[in-house]
Amino acid sequence: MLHLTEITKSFDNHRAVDGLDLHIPKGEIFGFLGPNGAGKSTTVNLIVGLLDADSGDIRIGESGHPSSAKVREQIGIAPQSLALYAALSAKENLEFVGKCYRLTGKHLADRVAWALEFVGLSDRQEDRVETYSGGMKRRLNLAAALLHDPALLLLDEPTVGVDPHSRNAILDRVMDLKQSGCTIIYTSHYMEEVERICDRVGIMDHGKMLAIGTVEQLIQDHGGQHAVVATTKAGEERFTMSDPQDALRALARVNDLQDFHTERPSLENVFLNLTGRSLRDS
Amino acid sequence: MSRIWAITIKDLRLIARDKSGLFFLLFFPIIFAVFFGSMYGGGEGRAIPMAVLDLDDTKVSRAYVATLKADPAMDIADFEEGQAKQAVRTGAIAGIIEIPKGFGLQLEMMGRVPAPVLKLVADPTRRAEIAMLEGVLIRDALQSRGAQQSSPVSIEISALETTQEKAMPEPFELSFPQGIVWGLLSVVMSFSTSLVNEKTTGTLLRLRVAPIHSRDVLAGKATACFLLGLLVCGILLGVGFGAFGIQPVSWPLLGLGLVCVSYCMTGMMLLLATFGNNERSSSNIGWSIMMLFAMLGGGMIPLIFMADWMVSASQLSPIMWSVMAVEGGLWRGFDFQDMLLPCGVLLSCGSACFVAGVWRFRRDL
Repeated sequence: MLHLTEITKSFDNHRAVDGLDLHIPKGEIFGFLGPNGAGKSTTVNLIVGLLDADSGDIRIGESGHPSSAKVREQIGIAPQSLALYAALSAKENLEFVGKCYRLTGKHLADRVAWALEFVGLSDRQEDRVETYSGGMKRRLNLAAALLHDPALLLLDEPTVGVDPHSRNAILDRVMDLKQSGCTIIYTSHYMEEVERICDRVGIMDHGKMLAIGTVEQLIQDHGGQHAVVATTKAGEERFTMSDPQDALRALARVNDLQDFHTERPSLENVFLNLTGRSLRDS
Repeated sequence: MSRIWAITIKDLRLIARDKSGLFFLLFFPIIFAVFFGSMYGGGEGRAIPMAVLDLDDTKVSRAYVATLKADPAMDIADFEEGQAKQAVRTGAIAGIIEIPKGFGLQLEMMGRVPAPVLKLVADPTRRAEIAMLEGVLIRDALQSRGAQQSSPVSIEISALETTQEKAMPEPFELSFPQGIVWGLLSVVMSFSTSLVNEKTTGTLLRLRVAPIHSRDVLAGKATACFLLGLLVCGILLGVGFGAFGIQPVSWPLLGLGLVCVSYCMTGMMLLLATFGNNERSSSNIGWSIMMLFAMLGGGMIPLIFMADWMVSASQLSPIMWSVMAVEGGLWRGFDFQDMLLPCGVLLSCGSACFVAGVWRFRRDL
């Protein structure tokens, strides 16, 4: 669905994207992670046609380069900043977005009704967005990105600042979209979300894709070792080692052992090991 | 085209729902116009630009003209009669001092025949200056005759007759053009900050990703600004017409003036929208620039209170040309040819701002 080949993009003397290769098949949810300044935003802007690459090739589906308006019709984007008009109602917002994508008449009305139903806002469609909660605005932001039935959807931090109920609703909707064949690029600082919904994850830093694979693969390759944590009267002791027998021997040497448990490396460890930073701090 | 209309309608809706913005769009200009209409009166300061027509052309009248030219209260320029009237009409001079035939003889026979009557043909917006001139003309007549008697001449003041035979304009006809311009300034600022708002909230990003060209986005925004500008003009004129008795001398030329003013303001809106990274900074920068133009152009303080260099600098202010374009059709009695200069300046200024604004907007994307 999306093919980025040897993409390079520089601003003045700073190389924001450096020889990026990325291929995402149709119907995949791809988690796109990286610290601030890693080149994620530049990559997204290249994918949606807001920037031109210095070199390399970008292709979306069979149609071609996103600088073409026809290709951009296949792209939907839900920016992190809520791209909504607060003084308009949800319905008015969606109608406006739909007209920008050349939707008209009954087709437009049907798509607006579907999108509102999809994100659970039908009963509030006539209310102005300024009266909505953060979670409702996020859901409407998603609806606006879906209105024209895009083949490629970019979701940038779609659950920032929302309550658990809305977060679950959004994640469920994203999974529904995957089932319908939509390809999704998902950026988030919430590791549990990425682990829950993404088929593959790419971690980028300094303009390069440092690692790419399923969550399990990344943890196995870059997550580091499992740990055994022993609880004693004096506190906790942690042992990291590759051989389980070594872990048991170490545990046996602990005085006043009260309890112990094992810790499995997570995507957070992968991120930390690859970038040197914690995802939430980056 | 349908997408341009979609953007236009969306922007008009947003403006209509901004109650505080509507106050500045509609009520503030009306308050402004009523306020200045009520206070038009006086002022003094710099030399008053005038023309003298010596129809008598005698030794006495020539001596009087020399005295007038030497008077620091006036700045007398030489004009032919037709040129002088045109200069008053376009605001280049405040009025014409007309010395009638027989002036010299009447002055020499002072006391035995009625005092000669000097005619002052004046720009109605400059009553304060003209009123001040009455005393100056009498003083100069005394000085030129070396006499001490009082009132050697009488002064008859009349408003400049226009091609449309417009009588002396009402005070509100003088103040409403400024009110209209202030209304348009509010329209400009509402739209320029709304464009910045589109950038900061991400809606512009969504539009740019959509299969819609950035020129369509700007065209939609500009069309909404232009139409709202005309609507504000229409409402203000309606209030002036219905409540304050305003009667334009030429509806078509007034319409032409308003279209040109709205066009110029729309161009300025696009340029101002490219300054500042957020709504607040954009608004501050925009209002600062527009206030400067308004002050220079006589939109806040009448030009008669300004120093000569400021009056010259006012030619650089689109506000000055905007007021003139509106006044041209409202009461100045401009013909189409007279309208060409202010309208040409406004269209040129609007186009230049439009090009610069589009260039900066696309560069900053």
